[in-house]
Amino acid sequence: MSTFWSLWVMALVVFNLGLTLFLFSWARKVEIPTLEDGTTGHVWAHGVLRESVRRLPGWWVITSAGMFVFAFVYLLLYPGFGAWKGLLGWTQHEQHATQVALNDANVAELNSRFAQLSPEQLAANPLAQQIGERLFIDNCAACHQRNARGNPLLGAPNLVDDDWTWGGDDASITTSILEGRQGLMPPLGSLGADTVTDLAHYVLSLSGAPHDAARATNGQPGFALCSACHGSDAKGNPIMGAPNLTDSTWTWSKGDLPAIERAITDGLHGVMPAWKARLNQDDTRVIIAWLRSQSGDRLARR
Amino acid sequence: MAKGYKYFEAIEKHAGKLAIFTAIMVSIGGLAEITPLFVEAHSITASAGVKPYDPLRLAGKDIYVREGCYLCHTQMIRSLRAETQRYGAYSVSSESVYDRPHQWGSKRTGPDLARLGGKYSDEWQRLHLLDPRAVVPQSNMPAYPWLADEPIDSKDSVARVRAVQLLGDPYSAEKIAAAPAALEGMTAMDALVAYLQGLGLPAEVAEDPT
Repeated sequence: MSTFWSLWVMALVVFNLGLTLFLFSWARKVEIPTLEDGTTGHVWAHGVLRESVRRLPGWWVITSAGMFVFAFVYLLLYPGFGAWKGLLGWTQHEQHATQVALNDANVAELNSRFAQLSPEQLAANPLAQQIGERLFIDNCAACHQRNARGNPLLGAPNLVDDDWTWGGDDASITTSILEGRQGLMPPLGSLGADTVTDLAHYVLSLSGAPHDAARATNGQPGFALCSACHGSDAKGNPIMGAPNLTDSTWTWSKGDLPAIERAITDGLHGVMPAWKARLNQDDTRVIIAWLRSQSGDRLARR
Repeated sequence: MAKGYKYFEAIEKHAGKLAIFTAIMVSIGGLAEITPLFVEAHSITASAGVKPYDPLRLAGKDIYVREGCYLCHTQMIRSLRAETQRYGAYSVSSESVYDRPHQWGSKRTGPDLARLGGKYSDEWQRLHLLDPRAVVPQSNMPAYPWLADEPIDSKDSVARVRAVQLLGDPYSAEKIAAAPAALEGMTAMDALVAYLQGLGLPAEVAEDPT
């Protein structure tokens, strides 16, 4: 704040507080002229109501005086009187920093306790579950849904089944969260609609889904192109995020023929944004723990 | 002292005088709190990383205003721990210098958007605007499906860039010359998504200079 505006504010504060304080103390002493009957002579309703003069009630005077005292003390302690910083040196940014430090200390203490726990123990810890769920709802649920079952519209995978496109160990999941992932299936519409349909039938046959056996046989040689990413055994490649095509898990659809044809023709582009600006390793650890706790059958199988 | 009544009488028995003196006293608060900030606002410069909106994002910002997004979403993270923990670093004035008018808002039916950029994918933003419930079943946000069918008028958008340039935002001649090509074939949806994806600087935020 420049000196001019500081003086401007100070002058207005002095004028306002000074004038109101003067009026407050002076007006109480001013004598209001009255008629012989003790009224001021102001009448309403043809003389039915007449204005008389009474002393101000004590509670009102004390409250008003208290407000002046509050104003002076406040302006002395806190910023408000121009550039005056106040005796306490309070700023909202420092208050924020203090609160953040306090919270960080609590979280650090909590995380140091969590660090003693194995992933399985953490997944069973009610407090870790609560924190993990909260973080998941705030950060992950917009795409993966609150129940972590995923959203095929976005190709956001189900996170509580036993199927992990980019690797399901803790380190891989942490990398997926912090660094993000970009899954790219190139469009292959140039192969021609007929070839695409043959290929789609072959893909269906891989997981034993209902398909046209003749078309699947026609499509098989073309799969050589797909195997670059999905592997010659079609079991996928977690390094590229190429999903396993031999299981019954489908990320972008329910695994029906038109959806698979569309995926081959137009390609797919799944984006998992990087979260390292918003989440750290401790956060991802409790999120993963919560996911494990939601994935009952996975734990049972361990 | 006791004779001071005539001064009170002089003011209180004349409606005109009473109104004028009342107006003077009532305006003191505004003169002290608003005027200095209003005048000094012009001296605030953009913090590091804050750049004028490119033409597509500027068009998106105007759609944000047109659709009234500010009625349910703030772009103002206050310096409260619970807010900075959820939304990121608190907002500072030097981040809003190119917002004409600023979109701070005052009502949160939906979440704050000041640091939304990059939080979700472009595709998520598109799907969410077309049908919020397709991605967030619990959402009560209205759908904005018409945005996808509405082409951006590049002539109009370039005029908008020139308007904020007149107000002092630094745009180079090359940038303006390249605008029509950049806006070619774009829809209102593309513009709004580009605007939303550019909101905020999650990585670094400069200290407020004031």
